This record gives sequence, structure tokens and C-alpha cells, in this order.
Amino acid sequence: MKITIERAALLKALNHVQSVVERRNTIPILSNVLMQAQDGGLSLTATDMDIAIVDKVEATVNEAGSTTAPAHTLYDIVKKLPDGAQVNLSTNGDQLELVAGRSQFTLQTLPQDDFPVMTGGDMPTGFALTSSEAKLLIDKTRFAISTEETRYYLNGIYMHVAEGSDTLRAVATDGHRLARVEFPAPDGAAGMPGVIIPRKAVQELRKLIDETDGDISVNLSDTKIKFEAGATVLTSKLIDGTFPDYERVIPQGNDKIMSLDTRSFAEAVDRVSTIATEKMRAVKMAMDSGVVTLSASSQDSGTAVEEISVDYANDRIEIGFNSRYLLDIAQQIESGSAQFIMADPSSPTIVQDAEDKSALYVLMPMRV
Amino acid sequence: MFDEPEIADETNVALLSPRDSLSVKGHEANEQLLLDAWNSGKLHHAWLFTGPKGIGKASLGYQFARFILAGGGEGGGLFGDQPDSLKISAEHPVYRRMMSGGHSDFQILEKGMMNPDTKRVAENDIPVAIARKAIEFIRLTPAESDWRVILVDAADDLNRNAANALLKVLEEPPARAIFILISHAPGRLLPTIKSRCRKLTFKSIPDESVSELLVSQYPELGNEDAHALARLSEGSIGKAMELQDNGGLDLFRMVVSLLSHPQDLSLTKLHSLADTLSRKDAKENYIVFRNLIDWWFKRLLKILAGDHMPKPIFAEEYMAIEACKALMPLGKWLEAADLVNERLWQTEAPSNLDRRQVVIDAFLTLETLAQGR
Repeated sequence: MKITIERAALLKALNHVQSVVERRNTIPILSNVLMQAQDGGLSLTATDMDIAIVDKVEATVNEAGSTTAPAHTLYDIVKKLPDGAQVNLSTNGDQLELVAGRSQFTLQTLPQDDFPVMTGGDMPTGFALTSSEAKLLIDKTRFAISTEETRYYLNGIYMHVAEGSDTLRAVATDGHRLARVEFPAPDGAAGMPGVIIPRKAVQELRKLIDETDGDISVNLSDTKIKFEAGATVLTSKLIDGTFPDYERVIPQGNDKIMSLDTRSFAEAVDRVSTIATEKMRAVKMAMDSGVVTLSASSQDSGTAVEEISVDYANDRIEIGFNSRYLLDIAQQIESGSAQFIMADPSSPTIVQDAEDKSALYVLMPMRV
Repeated sequence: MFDEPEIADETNVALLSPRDSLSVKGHEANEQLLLDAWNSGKLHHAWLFTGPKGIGKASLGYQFARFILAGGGEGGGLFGDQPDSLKISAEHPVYRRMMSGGHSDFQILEKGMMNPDTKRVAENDIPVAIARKAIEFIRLTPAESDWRVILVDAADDLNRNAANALLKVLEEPPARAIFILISHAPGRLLPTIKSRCRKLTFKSIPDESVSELLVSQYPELGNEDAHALARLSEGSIGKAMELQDNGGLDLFRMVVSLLSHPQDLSLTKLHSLADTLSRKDAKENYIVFRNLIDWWFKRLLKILAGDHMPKPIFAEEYMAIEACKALMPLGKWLEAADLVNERLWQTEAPSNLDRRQVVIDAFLTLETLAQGR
């Protein structure tokens, strides 16, 4: 392999891929980045064996070839090179030589054959998402992803096409709250297997979306998913489990509707929850016509009460919620008005953006 | 392009570490059993390989793992026959990536791995944080093949919490996930773990096979020494290699020569043994030496208790046994063996005594006892 490449381009690509490489690795090959040079470009691959990121950059390829070299060392070197430098990379035996101006480095390499192969395989389903759709899928749901190891099938976002309605859905839940976002399914998504995308892949994908304006192309099978944004490709394993039948927990018969101003509600919840005990974080909402009273009390610190005006014309009910969950959801609602759809103090409540029904949140009440 | 790395030919690789070894000797029946299980299409999800240390359990475990991850080895032939061997060649991509630790559908659990919680290497056991990582791995879909394999080498090293964590996935395993547990002391495993596994017993390999393997691995080794090492390791090629790597045979010769006259020790020989063992880089050698002493006293005690005389390692050993037998009765030797062992352990915490002094002290203690003083 013998190539010349712009320092800035190499740095950007290395920056993309090195984030999945763990700093302290006992397996040498996993500390390395795979470099493959051919047809006027260099492709860089890094993996932690759960996800793999490939980034392609333009380069002058004098001699095609491939090798693997320590990712962090390479990144640190390129970072310290002066801006605008031309970097020459060439392999010599089991070493990689890097020359830029008067700087010269030699790095130990490992053969390409030792490097994990995560990117291959058939992925029969393929469709494209706009970057705003992809953002929506993640941002509206990821706060609800469970961290509980025993229910591993909740440790990710469940993406699937809803039966009957032709919509693409993302769902996350931790058993106390649930977030569901949907929009018309893009071409090619119909018939896709439902997949659970692990949290780590969600995080990396989110970073990727921030850096692109164009479409994200998605390819998947029932064991792998691949996101392609610009020159970067992210491949991830999936969670091997069955997502619970979440439709069952979305109440259908709730009839008590309350509309309120999202921002003043969030602020009030935040203030009142100062008193709520660290462990319970419970805030009680007492709905009466035109007004909701938020209150919290704790034996140690005292009590807090705040009233806000709402649009509500139904029987008086009192429901307790976890204040952190209320705040999480309030943050997701972008328009000024949020809607609570309730039944009684012991049944789940639906929260939605009054103006945008694409996202739906379900909250389990707390006994207070 | 980089140079192709050297791929050793089969005879050379045959005896490297279990991770790298291409073929296993002496366990053909077990190999066939695994092959039949695969070919039946109803492969059990958890396997427990039991037997003495160093006889090829982990090697066969790795071989089986590679076979599974390669989707049934290299196939049976043109007409879709079933595979007839677990072996895959050194050029197979699965072999290369398993060797480098870069196969994304394989997870090893062993001592000496990085503990993700403490960011330290867990030298002495397999802590629960590492077991959890393996469980996370098995909860994800495979990326390269249709299967996922976890190899636990050895299950005896799992600490209690790690064992319990692993038990949970053994009880409700995901489809197409295979667990291979290696155990040198299955009696100490949780019964609940054992009951989930299909057990495969491994017997020691015949002395002839051990010495053959030794000669192929250490061409400089003479036939006679190879036979002696084979007998000394009692059918465990792993133990034989450990002995060979740490000068075990020479150490044993020195010990035997000293014990031919326990009541009248040659001080020159004793000091030369102590010198050898007190070198800076002789920590491993010392452990091998201590295990040898322990093993030999047990051997002697069994003979004194009426066991038939085993085949001696070499002629000098026979003389040592006879000399010791004539010197003291069983009761006395029991006491002596205890004392010597106790002394030899004083190199460890909390005493942390110097190896040289400890060795000399141990043998002089034995001499005093032998003289009946």
C-alpha cells in the first residue's frame, strides 16, 4: 500500500472511526484500524465487534493494498500534524510508514486477515430516511431505553413497520414509560423484520446524523443493520430477543383530556420536585376544572405546592408521577402545548404533543 | 503490500496453545461425538469438557468452536455430504480471526482478561463483570456466521457471582448460541451449571502420544527425556510442556539425587539446587519445583501405604524411592512431607521469604528428621 492523503481528510475519517475503539484493549487487533486503499480512495474500518464504522476518503493511491495499524496512535499523530500537510502512508513488511513534511513515523501493523469481518452478509431490506426522520426516530425515543440487564430486549430501540398501517415505528420502553414515534413508511421498508437496535449503535448513529444533511440509507437483515450517511457506514449487531407486545400497554379508552402549556408545566414540575425524595421523585398532579395542582412532600424536607392553569373540563382526579419521567417527556414536546389523556389514578396516561401526533408517550402512574 | 505472515505448517502448530492448535491427539471418540451431535442437527447448547489439566480439552473446545463458526467446518464434499471432521485448515479465515481474537461471534472467558469495572487485569479468577460482558455478547445477534460461541476456560475459575450470572443464560439460552465449559475439577462446579451441560469426559493421553507430541514440539529434546517427561506429567501434554519450559526434568533429577540420601544430604547439590531456584527469573521454575515435590511425596506415601510400585520416571528415581522406603515408616514420612511442603510455601505472603533460604531450610529439616534426631 502506498498513498498520499490530505491531513484534514484523514483526521476527519480517523475521528469518525476511532470512537468505537476502546482505549484499553487486551486484544491487539481490536485496537487497530483497517486501512484499505484502492481506486483513488482510502477506506478506514474500526470495530469493537458489536459495531463497525467504515469511512471512505479520497486519496492518491500509488499502490493499492491494505493493512491494520493502531487506531489511537495513528489518530494522535495525525492530529498533531500541521494543518494542510500531505500525509504519505506506505507499508513496508509488517510496518506502516507515515511521512508528512519532515516528520516520519513507523507503526507496527497486523495482517488484514486477522481483522473482524462485520460488514458482509445479505441485508434484504433497504430504504432511505431523511436526516430529520432519522433524528426523530432516535431523539423521541432513546430517553426511554431501559438499562436493566435482565430485560435485555428493552436495551434498545425497536424499529418496525406497524401491522395494518403503513408506518415505520420506533419504540423504546423501560417498563415504567414508553415512547413511540411513527411516520409513513419509506419505500422498501414494507415487510422488514422488526429489529431491536442496541443503545451503543443508537449513540453512534446519532453522532453520524449530526454530521450529515443528506439521506441516511438503511439496510437490514434479522441479524444486522447498516446505516450509510455520506461517506460513513455504520454496521451493528442487533439485540437477539423479542420486543414485548407494547400495543397492549397503550390505553385505548382514556377519556379525560387535559391541555397545558409545555414550558410552564416543565418549570413547575422542576420546582416542585426539589422537595420530592431522591428515591421516589414522586409528584402528585390534582386535576380540577381549569387548574392542575402539582404537589410533592417528603418527611425530611417538607412540602411544595404549585398551581398552573390548564384546559381541563372533567371530574377531579389525582395521579402521581415520577417527576423525572414527566420532565423527560416535557423536553421531547417541541410545540407550546402538551396533552395528557388520562383514565384514573392507577392506569397509564398518554402524553402527546397537541400539534404533532407522530410521537406518543405512555406513563405509568405512581401511588402517592 | 505487507508480507504474508508465516503460517506454520501443521506439525509445528499442532502443539501451540489451545487457541492455536489445529488438531488434538488422543480424543478421537469425543471428536466423533461432537461431530455426530452437529450432524444430527440437534446440537445441545451447553457442553462441559472434564478431565485432567493439560490434555487437550480447551484445544478441542477451540476446534469445535471454529468448526461451528465456519458453519460446519469445511463441508463434506461435492454432494452435500455431512462434514466428517472437526478440523479446519490454518488458512481458513475463521482460524485466522479466532487466533487473533478478532472473531466477532466468539467470546472467550478466562483468567487474565481485562475487568471492565476496575480496568485491571483479573489474574486470579473470572469476575462477574467479565461474565456480564460475555452475556451481553450472547444477547446480540451474530455478525459473521449463524452462531455465537462462548468458551469458558476454565469454568473452575469463575467466581461465585460470575458462575451465577452465567447460569442465568445457560438456563434460558438464545437460539444458535453454544457454550463450551472446560473443567479440571467438575466436582467444584455449581450443580445447577453441571445439570445444564452435556458432559464429555476426557482421559489422559497415553505416555507414547505425549512423548511423540513433545518431540514434535521440542525437536532438541532427546527421546529418553521425552519419555521421562511423559511419565512425569501423567498423560497431560500441557503439564509436560510446562515442565519442559521451566526445566522441570532437571529440577526433578536434582531432587531425586538429593533424596537418594535424605539422611546425609550433599550440601554441594543442595546449594546448587537452591541457586537455580533463587535466580531472579526462576519464579515459575520454583512453582514447578514445589508442585513436583508435592507430587513426588504423594507418590512415595502411596507406595508406603501399600500401593504397587509405579513405573519409575528413570532409574535413579527407583533408587530414591527404595532409599526413602528403608529410612522411615509411613507415619514419619507423612510428617516429613507436611513439614517440607509447609516450608516451601513460605515464599508466599505473608512470610515472603527468600526462595534460596526456604529450599535449604526445607531439605535440612528433612535431613534432621531422617537422621532421627
